[in-house]
Amino acid sequence: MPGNYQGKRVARSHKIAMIVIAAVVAAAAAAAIFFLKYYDGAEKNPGAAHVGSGSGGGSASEPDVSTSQDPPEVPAEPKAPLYDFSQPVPEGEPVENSYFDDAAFVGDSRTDGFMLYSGIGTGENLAANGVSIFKLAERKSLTIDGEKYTPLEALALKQYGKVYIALGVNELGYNNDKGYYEKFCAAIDEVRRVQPNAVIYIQGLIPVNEAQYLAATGHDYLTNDHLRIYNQLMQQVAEEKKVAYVNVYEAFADENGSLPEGYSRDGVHLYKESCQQWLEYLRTHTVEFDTLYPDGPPPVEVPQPAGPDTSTVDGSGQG
Amino acid sequence: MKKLLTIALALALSLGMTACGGKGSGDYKPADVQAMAEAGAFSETLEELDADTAFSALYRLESYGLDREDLKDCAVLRSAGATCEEGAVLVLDSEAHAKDAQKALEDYVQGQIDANEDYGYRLAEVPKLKDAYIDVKGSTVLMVVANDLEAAKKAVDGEP
Repeated sequence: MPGNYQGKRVARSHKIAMIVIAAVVAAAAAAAIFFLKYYDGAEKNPGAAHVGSGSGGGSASEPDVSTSQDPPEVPAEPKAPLYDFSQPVPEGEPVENSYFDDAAFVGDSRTDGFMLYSGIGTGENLAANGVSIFKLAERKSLTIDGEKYTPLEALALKQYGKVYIALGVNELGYNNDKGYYEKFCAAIDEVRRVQPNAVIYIQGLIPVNEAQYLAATGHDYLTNDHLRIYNQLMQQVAEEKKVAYVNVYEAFADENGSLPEGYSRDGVHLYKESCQQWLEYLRTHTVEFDTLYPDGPPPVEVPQPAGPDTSTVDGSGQG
Repeated sequence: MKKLLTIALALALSLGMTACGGKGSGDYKPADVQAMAEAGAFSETLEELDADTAFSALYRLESYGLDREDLKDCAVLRSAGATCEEGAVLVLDSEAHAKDAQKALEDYVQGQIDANEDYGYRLAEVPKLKDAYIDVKGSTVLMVVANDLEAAKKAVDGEP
């Protein structure tokens, strides 16, 4: 019965085809599972493939967790947001005065007053009367152990954990905002070069009392309008150079953006109580080095040679 | 007769002691600083500084070979910055250390003169600095940068 034989042959052929197809599908599925489990996993987590095979990876008898079991699924630790250098240091819990044990304070006569009257009782006083950002690297205004130093030279004599910089009042009489910005950037580069592991704080300028200053000196070129421009510039310097900016201005400015009467005799230099208020602000506005630079110290930029001082002096120094 | 001699001797001793220990003589005293202020030697109310701050942050006495314990007592009044006026009496533990402190104070005043002149800063105050009075008596040192130096000296001498 050829018809019957042919029917059986066709049926057998179909059966063989089905078996072959099933085998191919099974093999493809197995290959896919293998690929997904090992190859793809290794791509996503390269370290897992190397566990036990590194220089300190243990002996061959240790189980290879990359092949013997699935790596535990550890949720990725959320990374702390990077510090926003465009913003002032936020308020926090007050630190003890001992925080300033390894701090250096570079500034003018206002800083000198701060070191003497605030009650800080520690920290290195590298302030000099009348100093300005334009002369910071030139004038040997500090005498230490009988030797004369510029403030930046004095800063390099030892290592500090923090460097506070407060400069700008003596520069208010200069008509050179661009020069102020550039000199400040260069100063930060130099400070970082000599103090690569220090938190560098730029302190915003405390406002002045224009009326008191006029009455005390007869001069009117010290204005809070210009002072606020300098504060904006210093905040830009902080952002560009990735250093901390502390907005001390906000602790003293009244509703008119002025230093209130009663804080100073001449509108510039602060009484003891005001210096204590200044210290309190610094104690509550600190930031850790690791917060600023979680990946290690920032690169040191070689300061460019300073160009000639082309600033225009409108008046003598004040602070 | 013997009684009269005793009385005369006691009187002489008493007068002699008064001459030595009276106002205007002997070591300087911390209270002299306040006396100068009350006598109108300064043009403004000055801020008071403690001994620790005066020793290190202000006068840097450690740079002149002194230890903190060498400074037995002191009184310092100083301008917050509007002027250069200042009055200080330092009580040291020896005359030699008083001389060291005197040198420190002379350098301190000269440093202020240099800084003010270099920067053209507070030039009106420079004459007061150049007229600064620094003197040693025994183991004590007096320094005055005053608006009215004569008033300061009279106050220290006990004159009205």
